[in-house]
Amino acid sequence: MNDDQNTVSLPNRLVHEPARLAILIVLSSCASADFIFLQNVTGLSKGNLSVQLTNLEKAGLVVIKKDIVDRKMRTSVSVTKHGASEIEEYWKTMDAIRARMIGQQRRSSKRQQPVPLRPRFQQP
Amino acid sequence: MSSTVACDPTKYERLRYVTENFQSLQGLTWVAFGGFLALSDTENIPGIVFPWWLKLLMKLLGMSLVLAAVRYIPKYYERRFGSVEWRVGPHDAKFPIFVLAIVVMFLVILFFGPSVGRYLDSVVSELSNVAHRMISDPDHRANLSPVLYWFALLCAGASKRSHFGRLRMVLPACFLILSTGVSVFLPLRHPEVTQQMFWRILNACWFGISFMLWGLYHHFMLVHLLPARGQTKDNE
Repeated sequence: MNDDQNTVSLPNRLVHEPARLAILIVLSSCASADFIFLQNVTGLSKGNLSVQLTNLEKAGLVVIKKDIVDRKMRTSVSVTKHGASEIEEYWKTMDAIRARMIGQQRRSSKRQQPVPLRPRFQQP
Repeated sequence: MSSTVACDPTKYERLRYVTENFQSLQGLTWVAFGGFLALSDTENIPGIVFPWWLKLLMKLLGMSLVLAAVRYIPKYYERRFGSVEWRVGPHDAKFPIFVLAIVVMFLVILFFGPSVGRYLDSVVSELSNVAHRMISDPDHRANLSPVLYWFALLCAGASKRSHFGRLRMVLPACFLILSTGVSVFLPLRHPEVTQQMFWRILNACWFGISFMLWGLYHHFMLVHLLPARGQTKDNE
């Protein structure tokens, strides 16, 4: 087995964090979603969601737009092209890790195959 | 970190499903349309003649339900659950086909409307006669439209791969069994049931009633799929 097969790149930490991953999954399934929907679907608190969105925006993974609808501020969030490619890359990495782990498990189970038992009482 | 977004693949499937199907899960719209249908179908109950004021009242109620479905219910969902903008892109290959089909249908109706209408009328009535004769109902007492509708919906949803998609198809299957049982098999086995008022009302209004139940199921599914807001602490 060569080195390329042994090395698997680690997932992007920014995407791997569960709250940010949940936000990115939601945003990659639609064109854009507003703050209330994101809060409802992820179950995050206002402050937590706001911080996570700011982190994602700083990294260039999402775009936050604020506009006024019916005299109320509406915050809508959409994923950027960079964000979409990052999440795609993340799933590929996770698939590679899973495949590698399954391979390791199979190899270890082959090594630990039980020795065939001899009959306890041999017939004379 | 938060418990609601822990590393669980089914939760990610839930997130994806609820986002992609947010519009169709807004079940109260279906409840209102179902109410309208049920009220309209009351005119088809044999043996009941409503006074004019009751007819007018039911028509007004039906119209107000449609108004609520179009205007107020979407606003309620937006206020309570937020809004999602639908993605129209290369993934939605069905959308342009749907638009094209609508345009073609409009053109056909515009130019060949009357002749197509006459032809379809004869074909549909012939098919309906055959279907009713098959279930020993030459008087067309049994309402077969709910059976056909739920069967078509079940066939359309048969290709659903996700867990939630399959879960959503449970109710049409139940409705199909129930509609077939009530409208087709029950009168075959017990012909006297057609004389009962309860059967007549259920047979005439079942389409609307089942729509209302279908809508309620979707609404509660949406409520169940979206966890309560702000369960987590501001830990970051």
